[in-house]
Amino acid sequence: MAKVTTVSDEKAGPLVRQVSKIGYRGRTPNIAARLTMCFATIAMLMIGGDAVAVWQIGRVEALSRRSFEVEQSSLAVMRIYVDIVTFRETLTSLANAEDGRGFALQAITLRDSFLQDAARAQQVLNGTIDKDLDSTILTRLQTVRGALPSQVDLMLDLAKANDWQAVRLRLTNQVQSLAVSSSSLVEDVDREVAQERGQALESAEQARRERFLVLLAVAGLILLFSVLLSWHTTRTISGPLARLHAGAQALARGEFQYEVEVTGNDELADLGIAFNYAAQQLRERQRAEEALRRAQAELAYMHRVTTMGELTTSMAHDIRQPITAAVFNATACLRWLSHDQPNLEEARTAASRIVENLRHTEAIIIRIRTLFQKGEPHREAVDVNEVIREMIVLLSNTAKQCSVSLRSQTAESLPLVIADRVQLQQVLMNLMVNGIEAMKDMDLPGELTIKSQASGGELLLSVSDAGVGLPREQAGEIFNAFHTTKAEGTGMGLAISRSIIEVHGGRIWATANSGPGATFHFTLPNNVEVRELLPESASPSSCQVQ
Amino acid sequence: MSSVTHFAARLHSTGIRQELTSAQLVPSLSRPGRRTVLKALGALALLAEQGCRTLVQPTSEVTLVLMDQAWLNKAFQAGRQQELDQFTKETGIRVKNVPAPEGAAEQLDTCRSLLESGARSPDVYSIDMIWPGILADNLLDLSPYVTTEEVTAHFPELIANNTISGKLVALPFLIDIGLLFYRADLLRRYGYVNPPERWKDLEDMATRIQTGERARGQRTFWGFVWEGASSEALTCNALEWQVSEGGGQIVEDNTITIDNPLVVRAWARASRWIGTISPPGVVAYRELDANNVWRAGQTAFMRNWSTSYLGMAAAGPLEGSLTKNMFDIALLPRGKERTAATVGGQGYGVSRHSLHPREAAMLVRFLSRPDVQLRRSQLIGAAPTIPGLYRDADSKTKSSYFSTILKAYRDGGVLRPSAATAMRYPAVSRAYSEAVHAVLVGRKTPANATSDLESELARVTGLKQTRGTEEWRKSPP
Repeated sequence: MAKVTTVSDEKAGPLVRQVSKIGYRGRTPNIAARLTMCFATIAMLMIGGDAVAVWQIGRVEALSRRSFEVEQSSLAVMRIYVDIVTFRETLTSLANAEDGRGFALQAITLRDSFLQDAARAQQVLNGTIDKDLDSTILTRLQTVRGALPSQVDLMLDLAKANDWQAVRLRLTNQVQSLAVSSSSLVEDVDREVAQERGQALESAEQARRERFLVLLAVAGLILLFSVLLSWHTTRTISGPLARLHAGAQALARGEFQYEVEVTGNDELADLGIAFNYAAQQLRERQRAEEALRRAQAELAYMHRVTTMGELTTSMAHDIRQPITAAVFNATACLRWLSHDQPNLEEARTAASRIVENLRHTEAIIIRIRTLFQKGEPHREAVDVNEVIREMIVLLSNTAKQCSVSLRSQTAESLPLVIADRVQLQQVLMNLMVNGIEAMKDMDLPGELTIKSQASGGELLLSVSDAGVGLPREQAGEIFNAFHTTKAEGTGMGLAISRSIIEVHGGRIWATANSGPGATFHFTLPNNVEVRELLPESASPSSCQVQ
Repeated sequence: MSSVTHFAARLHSTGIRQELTSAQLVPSLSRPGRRTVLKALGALALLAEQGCRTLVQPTSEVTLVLMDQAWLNKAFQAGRQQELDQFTKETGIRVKNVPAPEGAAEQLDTCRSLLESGARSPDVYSIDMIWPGILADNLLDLSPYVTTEEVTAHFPELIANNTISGKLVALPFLIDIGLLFYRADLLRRYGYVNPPERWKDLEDMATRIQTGERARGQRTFWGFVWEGASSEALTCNALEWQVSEGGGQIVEDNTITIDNPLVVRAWARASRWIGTISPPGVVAYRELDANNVWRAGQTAFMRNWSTSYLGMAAAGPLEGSLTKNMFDIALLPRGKERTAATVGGQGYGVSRHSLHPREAAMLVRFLSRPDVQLRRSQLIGAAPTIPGLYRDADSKTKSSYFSTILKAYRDGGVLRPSAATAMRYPAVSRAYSEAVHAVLVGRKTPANATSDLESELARVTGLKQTRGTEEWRKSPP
């Protein structure tokens, strides 16, 4: 399994360097070569096994052939012996008949056929008899082969001299001993041959028995080796792949700290290094985004505070008004109590008004304080209508000073959205202040309309004014930073609003009204699940502040 | 002829000397004299020079192959096998016996082709008296393997014959000599006490016995059989005829001795035998044919080799109709000058191509060893090559057989001119026997034949002729 390791920070290019280093080293063959080698080795093993099988079969056949050859040599020598015996018997009867012509004819005929058989026997023995076994056999055969013709010559001389007695004696003594000698040769060859034939047959039988075992063992070995080789090769591929898979899943979960273990230096190792490099890049990007987000939040806060500073006068009026009312009611209350007959009823009523006035003041202060608060972005389920109401309350006095009336048209039963309430208030405040200021210099009293509605899978909020409208040919740039149409504007308001809305997954844009002024829209993705978890908050369908 | 007498005298003297020393040698040099000790030390030094070749016991894995000439002789083969078995028992070296062809010329051809082709087997060859000069190049020098005592124990003529350019190429184990075989029973029947002394006596006795036996119903009975086929055996027969007459030993003092009246007379006499006392077929007879007729009891006399006695006398029952007490041997009849007996015999030599020269030399030494030769003489009647063994051989067999052989050797021993003609010898012998054969079959007169042969031999050998010499002119026609 993959394990998480701490990444040592590496500068740009380690991947390239490592990969090139690997390419340079090239010790472990790459996967294609490894697979090819694996299959080639298995194929070679199978060929080797086949070769062993062929060899075994050939061995058995050779041994069988050998026993046949050995048999042939025995027969060939036997034929020589038969030739000599025939020679002796035929010539003896001719010598007894003292038939000179017939004797000469037969002697030569029989000699020639004997010589043919002897040559054949010698040839067969040369190929058959292992010379180490009995070196005398061939020499003896050679001698017998030479002896008979010389006996023929000697006997023909004797026959020519008409000495049949000497011929008969030669046939009886010398040719007979030649027959004896050849018969002992037959016996010896037969014995040698029997030994060899027995050996050959035994060897062939043993080879047959062995063949089965050898083939079985070879097949088993090939199978075992193939399995081990395949398993090893597969493992060297599947192991790193599994680690990469686990790493990819971890990245998908957002665990950018995950690093895969890199082993070897094949393509998968390259892939692992690339993966780790990508994870590292992701970590850096995550850090950068975090920093950016912080910077934006800081900027938004600063802008908020600035905006609030700008609103201080009207807000002070906002606060002073209920306090003034409270002072008035307190005076009235005292007056009711200082009567001889204190009118407790009236005093109570006045006191109640004081409480109401102070609560109103408190509410305003709480809202202001909230906007001044600086904290980490905090997401929660937010009712946008409530936010609209709060901002209307906060900015009502500012609007009044500018002769602008605020009007809200909120849809009922809007789902809650997961958002940062303060940032949402900031966006609304920016858009509303912009709208109020756009109408401030108009001679006619203006109206700022804030709408909310559900549209598809998101909420659509819009702020419409009847002011100076959008600058021509710059509609696309008004959300860019430092772009302003106002004499004392920072040019940051709309840019900050856009970044807040985008962080929330929404969009913000502006459209020119058919009449005077412009409408700013923004969307927020709603969250049904959260909506269901929270208690239903009733919101007024319309609120008019004047 | 002075050279012949000189040779006989030399044979005689060395024979006696060797007899004395070999009496000590037989019981394996039990009491060596100072000189013997020195010689033994010298031999040891020589052996040491040869490294471990002769001293280390051979491995029992070695199997030697021996090519023997007398393979058709069963008695000889049986005795030989006993000897080989004993050798294997003593040394652990096995020996296989391979037969050679029958005739001497065919045997020589076989040995030559094997040796000259560089055949690894056989290791040991039996080498005929007349072969050393022909085969010497392919035979091992045995001197480093044998002691001086072992060598000098043999007849010195045999050692000299087997030494070619200082190389001892074969160690003799058997001598063979031309003898007269006679039917003692028939001689007695026709009133003869002794075997014939002279050729004339033989002719007379043969004629008489032949006539008598034929009259007794033996219609194919003949007086005298010998080897008349044109072969080495005829060379030996004719050499005996001419030497006994005083016609010379074919080559003497580097001179051809053929074309002289003594040779003419000798050959003419032999040609007269054919059809009278010898069968007409005798001109096609080899040793075995003569032997066949002899053993069949169909002749009164036979000229043959002493080895023909093997299987007749010493080795028990005969295959033919003769029994041991029916015959005897004697020296060949004298001619005008002397008795002559061609000396044959064999030695054993080691092939230069043998893979086991050390073991092969051990076998050769074994087969020539005094005790082995003595046992062989008792078992199959083989005549030893060590003169000192003859008396023992006779006393053990209770016969005069070996004394007769020794006497024949000393009084009549004649060597063929194989040493003088060396590589030319086969051609010389062939021409000689063909010339004699031409006379025997009546194709040429003896005078023409001798004249032509002398020219031919002079051409073949490059030696001088005697024709036209003073001696030749003085000789009666």
